[in-house]
Amino acid sequence: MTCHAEGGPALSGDGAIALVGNPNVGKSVVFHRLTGRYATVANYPGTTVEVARGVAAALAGGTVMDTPGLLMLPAHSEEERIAARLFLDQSLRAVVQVGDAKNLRRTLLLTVQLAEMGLPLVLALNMMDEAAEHGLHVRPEVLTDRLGLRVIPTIATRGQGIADLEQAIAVVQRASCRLSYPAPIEAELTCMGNLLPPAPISPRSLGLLWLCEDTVAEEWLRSRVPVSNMRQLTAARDRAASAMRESPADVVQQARLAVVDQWASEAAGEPASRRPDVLRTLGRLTIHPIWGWPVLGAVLVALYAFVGVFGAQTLVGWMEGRLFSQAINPWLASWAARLIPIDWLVDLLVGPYGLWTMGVTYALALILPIVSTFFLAFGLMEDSGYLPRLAVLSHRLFRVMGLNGKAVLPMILGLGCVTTATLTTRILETRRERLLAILLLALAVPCSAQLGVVMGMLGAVSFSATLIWAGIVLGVLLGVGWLAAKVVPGERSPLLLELPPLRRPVASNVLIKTAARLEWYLREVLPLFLLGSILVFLLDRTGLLDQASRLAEPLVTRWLGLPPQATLAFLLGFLRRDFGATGLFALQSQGLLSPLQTVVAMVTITLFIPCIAAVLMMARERGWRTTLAMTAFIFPFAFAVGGGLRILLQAAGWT
Amino acid sequence: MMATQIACPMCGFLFDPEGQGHCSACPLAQGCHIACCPACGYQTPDVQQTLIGRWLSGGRRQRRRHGQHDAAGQTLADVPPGWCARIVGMNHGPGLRRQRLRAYGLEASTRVRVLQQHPVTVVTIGETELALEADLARGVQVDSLEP
Repeated sequence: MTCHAEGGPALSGDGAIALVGNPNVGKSVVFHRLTGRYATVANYPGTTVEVARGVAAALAGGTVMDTPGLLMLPAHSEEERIAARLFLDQSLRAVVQVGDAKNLRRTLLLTVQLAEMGLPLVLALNMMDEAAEHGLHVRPEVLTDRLGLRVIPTIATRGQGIADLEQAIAVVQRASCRLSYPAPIEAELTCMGNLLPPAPISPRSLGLLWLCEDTVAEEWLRSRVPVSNMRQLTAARDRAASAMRESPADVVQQARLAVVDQWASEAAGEPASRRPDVLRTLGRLTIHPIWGWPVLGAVLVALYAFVGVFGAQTLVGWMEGRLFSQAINPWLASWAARLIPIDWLVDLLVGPYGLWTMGVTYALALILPIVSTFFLAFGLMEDSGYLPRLAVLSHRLFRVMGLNGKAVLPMILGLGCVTTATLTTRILETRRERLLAILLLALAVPCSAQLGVVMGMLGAVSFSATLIWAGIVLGVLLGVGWLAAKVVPGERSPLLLELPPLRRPVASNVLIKTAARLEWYLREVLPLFLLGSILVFLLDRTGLLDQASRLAEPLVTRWLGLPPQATLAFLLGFLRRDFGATGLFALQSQGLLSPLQTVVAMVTITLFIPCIAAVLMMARERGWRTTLAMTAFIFPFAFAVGGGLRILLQAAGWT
Repeated sequence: MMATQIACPMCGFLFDPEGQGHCSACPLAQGCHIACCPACGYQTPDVQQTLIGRWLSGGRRQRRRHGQHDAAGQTLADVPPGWCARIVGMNHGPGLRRQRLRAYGLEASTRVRVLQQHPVTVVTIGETELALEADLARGVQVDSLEP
């Protein structure tokens, strides 16, 4: 076994710099430090599910790519495959592996694989502070010696070691690592030498990937190698498999681990024993089969108090009730009436469905305070590492829905934004699980803005209204999930998830993240809200709104039992679910909705299709046929549940 | 699956709750979760037959089983919470799953500490905390259990 950096001049010029590494080791923080571009950073595996690109000024303007986490090769889930494809599809200027210093063994397992590929490699050993806290004294120089590549200790959250890392990237050289494998593997690797096409990675590592049945490598080879050679490759793999008791992949991994174990113990040794601290104890409590539930309850109550009460009632009260309704809007209306002689233009700006009175007021006075509080609370939860721990508690619930506890991550992210959560379903292992999760996201998971509006409205009615709403939505989630799991063929994959430690959130990261999300939200929402206002204004002017209301009357007025004005809200709901909810919010604040009507309206709008962006994302991830089928199911279903609930509540005498 | 034997709380007789002499005569035997001791006739609920019983007694049952020093064929799912164990082997079907578990550090001769068994098994291997479903935990054979 030999590892060393190949001599010759440092690599330069074209090609991007890729940041790779195990999940949840801080790749996105390093990315932010190198490029100044913000990539969402959080304390759960699977924060990054797509390749993000940025430019690093300190590295002669080189492009830096932030990739999804990769535990090892062969890649397992869709997001891992995205990272794995990079090595085969692109000629990279440098590969920076970000590793967790306190999980050396796992870090080095990937390092060895990357070094075998002959990539220009630098290892950034991140979270050195946490390793020290865990009583581990990691010596990077030992690893530099064994691996033959630059190993830079970093604490990316504080920016420590980043300058050294930039220097190391500038002078990076191709790694060269040659581990010895059992004779049958070596024999086949030699045989396969002439059959493999030229690749950005070493032929030996490509051969190993093939022998280990890596699906990404297989796909890549099939598109480049003639059929006759493919047959010979398959024969080589079969020979290797039959010559050994275990599969080639197992044998190869064991050989690598034997080396890695030795290096890891040389570089760090055994950790000193550690006193249990508050965060560790709290971490245990959050997943405890009994205490985990009160902790979850407390988190939910705190979330409700902050977002539903403080955000949706107090802040909205100030913004909408005082600032907009009493000060800005009347003032603007009077000025507009005085300065603009054209009636319809005044109406378009400050009329009942005007750009300002509806579009901007909805977006800034109603939604902004709610999403700000939600994103802040959510950022805190993300960075604390609480979210993946919920996978443990909720596993049984998701089992009913044909998923495993890991699905809690996209579901909870869906409470932030269903569109991005649809993308996060990539962390799930099978196609079937991704499909089920996307259906449930589209159907029963309200997004932040909508959730805030719902909380605010139901909070204003009564606590029992909130319970009814939550019960129905949860019941639908479970019921539809259970049925869909029965209908969609395939098996559930078992839960296997690393639980990151609970951490104290870094205030600056939470604030930056909240601000970044708010900016994104306003950019996406304001134009849509303005567009919506114009549409409604036009519909109103042309009399189509009345016609639509009349057409929808049997559905909205008779079946759901809502006032005719609610039709408008549902029309807005087509554009964005939260826009519709905001329309209902406005109705309620005018005293047009009774408690029963509020609950029915809230349930229906929650089960509505999320928004145009989410539908486009669904189509991108799962294709138009699936998306149309889901939409065709969701609309009638939302109205069916809403009307059914009205009948039930009326029969029960709930008002 | 083999039925677990239960001990009569009255006389301590160990018996298999299924197929006892008394039940065949009883008209309510269908769906009955009461076990009658063949030795003394004392009636005791067969906890393993009830949903709530199975849920609540999960952890306790495992500890008792360990107390009976049943060393052969123990798996990670049998290790009581808070105990350590040494992994001796893995028998997981698909290779990729076994390799992933190994990448996380679950492999022969590694010592792990089990934090809890419910709702899923949570173990620490070095500095890694890993949640895995019972099915996976049952595929990991262990020995040398110690508190």
